[in-house]
This record gives sequence, structure tokens and C-alpha cells, in this order.
Amino acid sequence: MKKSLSYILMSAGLILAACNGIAEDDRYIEVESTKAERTVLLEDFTGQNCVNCPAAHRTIEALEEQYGSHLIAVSIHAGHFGIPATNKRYTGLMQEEGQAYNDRYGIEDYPKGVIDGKRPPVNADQWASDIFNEISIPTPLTVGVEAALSADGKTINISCSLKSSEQLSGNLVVWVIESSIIARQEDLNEGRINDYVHNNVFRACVNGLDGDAVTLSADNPETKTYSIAVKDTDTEKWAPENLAIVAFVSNSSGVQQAAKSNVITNK
Amino acid sequence: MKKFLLLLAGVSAYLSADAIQLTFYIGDQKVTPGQTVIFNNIEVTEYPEDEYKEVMMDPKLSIMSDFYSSDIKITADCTSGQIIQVCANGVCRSNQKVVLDKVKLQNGKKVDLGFEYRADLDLDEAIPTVVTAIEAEDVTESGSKVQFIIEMSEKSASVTAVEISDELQPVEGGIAYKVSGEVAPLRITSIVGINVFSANVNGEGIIALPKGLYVYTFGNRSGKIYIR
Repeated sequence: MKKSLSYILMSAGLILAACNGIAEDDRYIEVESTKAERTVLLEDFTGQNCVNCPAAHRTIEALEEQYGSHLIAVSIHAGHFGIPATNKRYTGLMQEEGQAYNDRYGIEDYPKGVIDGKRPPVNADQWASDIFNEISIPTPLTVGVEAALSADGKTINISCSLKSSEQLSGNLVVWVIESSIIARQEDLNEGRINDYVHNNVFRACVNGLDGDAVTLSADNPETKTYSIAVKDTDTEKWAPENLAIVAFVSNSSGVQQAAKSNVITNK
Repeated sequence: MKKFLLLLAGVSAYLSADAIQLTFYIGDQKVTPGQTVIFNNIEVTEYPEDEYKEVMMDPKLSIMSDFYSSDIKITADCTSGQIIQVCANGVCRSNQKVVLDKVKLQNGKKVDLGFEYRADLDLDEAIPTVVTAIEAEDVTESGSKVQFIIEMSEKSASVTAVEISDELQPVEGGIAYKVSGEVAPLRITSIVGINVFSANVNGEGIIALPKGLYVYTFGNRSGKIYIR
């Protein structure tokens, strides 16, 4: 017993003696903040009847605060939890194009996110780390977008500028999104919220589901212009002051660069 | 032989010690495995101006494990053909048959499964009976599995329709009885068969019970009674 005790004490002494003192200045390892090399597109597949989706919306708000203009979030309502925009009983936010994108990714669980068009779709608890990794990947492409409401308030005129420092091919996709939409939303803790504020809601494709093919040569900028009618029907009314245009170039490697611009109104 | 039996008992004990126990709950009430649970607390909101009604069936289904597991498989199969919803691990899935894999359960902590049926129906449309087989399986070495069937409707053909007697009435916080004359035997159980009250009563009184649906036998009558 005495021998065992002395061995234990000896070992403890050796182990403790093996520790070097650490200078005060070396006690903290600073993690370098990531440098944003691109603007990341987050497609949030969501639904008004999805009780876990409000939590994901709050995640988006936190990420937007963290990354500012380097993150563009678009909430695409889809699936069984979505309410079609053609619903005559209450405000629905699900578009056919949004459902088409959802089906391409094979999404069945909600909420689910797609970061810069890369598969597979991921749960909301993974968005922060994936965006952190994605945002520091350099891109040769610069995308600019400007949008303005026509004088009669019925059309949005859009101009997209593309410039790449190297040869690049892809598809330019342009979307209309709308924020500050008041509509119902189910929540896990609060049940049905009838006056929920929906932001970054996908409203329409401007130039088709797949956009327009673009081939850019080094330092040879291109500009593409579009227009889209402001929707004003019995079941769907866009508020121009809450609209924005999202433009991004995507290819087999994912979204190469994205940009967003609020629609300038004359008010 | 005795040694063999002892050895067998030891092996069984060893194996069962690793099998986790999964338990479903409807609200606060434990579900007996293999049982058919009748759930009638349907929320119907009518919108006469828009000529439709919203139907919501939410039995507050949850699950608990007596041991940590990160690999529980939850299956909800709506055999009556409706679209149902189940949620776990921060995501929800909606379909006629929903399977959620790798559900995490912590020891002794109930997890709300967000199981519900909801629909918009025309005002004169019949509210369906939604029958769902629900199963939870620990997809590890323990292989524990528990299942039951839940039948959700306004009223169920398999159970006596709710009868409100002048002598037995649901009140806030319980059930009020009134017996004139002879003593009447009164027995009340939860919808999953757990006995909550059993005694001979006479005169007037209130049996304090939490809100929910109960099955009663009162004298020579039986039925269901719901406390709001």
C-alpha cells in the first residue's frame, strides 16, 4: 500500500512538473476573423405551416446582422407546409417556381437551407458554419444590380452588371423578393401568429427558372436589362417599397457571386 | 440445468440492461404500447363568410427515453390516407407516411413530436377520421421498439359517443356528480385506461381532474366526458 501510494505521488509530481508556465500574453489564442471574399446566397426553404421555421428566420436575422451585405437570404416557401399564393382564404406565400426549386433539391424536411447552390441542403443549425466557410472563398466575379419602379408604378426596370477577372460561364438568375409581408405563420411555442412579419420572401423569377446563360471573358463587363410587372391581383399584391431584386450567377460549382438591390420607388 | 438457467438469466439481464425504454405520451398521459388511442379534442374554426372551416387535430404527442440515444427512428403512417406532420431535431416533415431518422433523445426529457393533422374543408364537408400508426425504434444494438395507433376524429365508432348526463357534468377543474337516492358506483379512467377515480358516490360533489378526455362508468351508464 505504501509502495503504491509513493508511486502515485511520484507520477503526479512528474505530470505536474511537465507543465510549462505560460506567459500571460500567450494564454489566449486569437481566432482571425474571416475576410468576406464574396456575397453568399442562402436559400431558406420554409413554409407558413412549418412550426420550426420561425426559429430559422431568427437565425437568418442574426446572420444578416453578422455579415451585412455579404449575405443575401431568400425565403422560398414550398412543400406541404407552404400556403399557395393563389389561396383565396388568406395570404399565401408559396410560388410555383419556389416549389420547382424545392423539388430540384429534393427537399422534404423544413426548414432547410441551400448555401450558394451547393448540395446537400442543410439544417438551420449548420447555416452559420457553412456560411462562414463559404464567404471566404474568393471569386473572380463582380455582380451589380439596380432596380427602379416605373413612373406609373406598374413595372420594375432592372439592370444587372457582370464583370469577371477571368473567363467564366454560368447562368444569370434574377429574382424578385419582398419583405415586411404580414401573413400567418405557425410557431412551435406560440401557435398560430396571424400578424407575423415575413421577410426576404421569394416572389418571382424575372428571367425564368434557370435564368440566362452568360459567358464572361476576362475584364470584359456585360450588362443585362430586364423588366417585370408589379403583381397586383386578388390574391397577391406586391408592395413596391418592400421589394428587392436578387441577381446571382450560378454554374456547376454553385453560386459564383450574388447581389441585391432594393427597388427604388419615387415615394 | 440450474446452472444453465442461471446463466441464461444473467445473459438476459445483461442484454436488457442495455435496451432503452421508449415511451410515448399524449399530453401528460403515458401511452400503453400496442394500444389504440382515441383522440377527440378536435379544433374546428368556421369562417362562414369565406365558406370554409379549419380543422386541427393536435394530440400533443411526445416521446421520452430513459437513456440517451441519437439514433431513434420515428415512423408515422397515416393509414386512413391523410397528410400528417411530424417534427423532430428542429425539422418538420409532412406526408401520408413520415419517417424521421437520427432523432436525438436525452435521458428523461420529453421531446415534442409536433404530430398533427390540419386541413381547410368546405363548411359542409365531413371531418375525416385520421388513423395513424406511430412507431419509435432505437436503431442501435438495443433495438427497442414501441408502437401504438392513434385514431383522431370528432367521434369514434369504436367508443360510446360522449354522453352528458344531468347527473354527471364536466365543470372547470373536474367532473360534478349529483346522485339522488341510492349510492351509485362511479369509475373514471383516462383515455388510455388509467384509473383516476373509483368510488360509490351519492349526493353532490366535484371530482377534481385536469382537463382532458375521460371515460366513465356511472351506475349502469357509460360514456366519455371532456373537461375543458
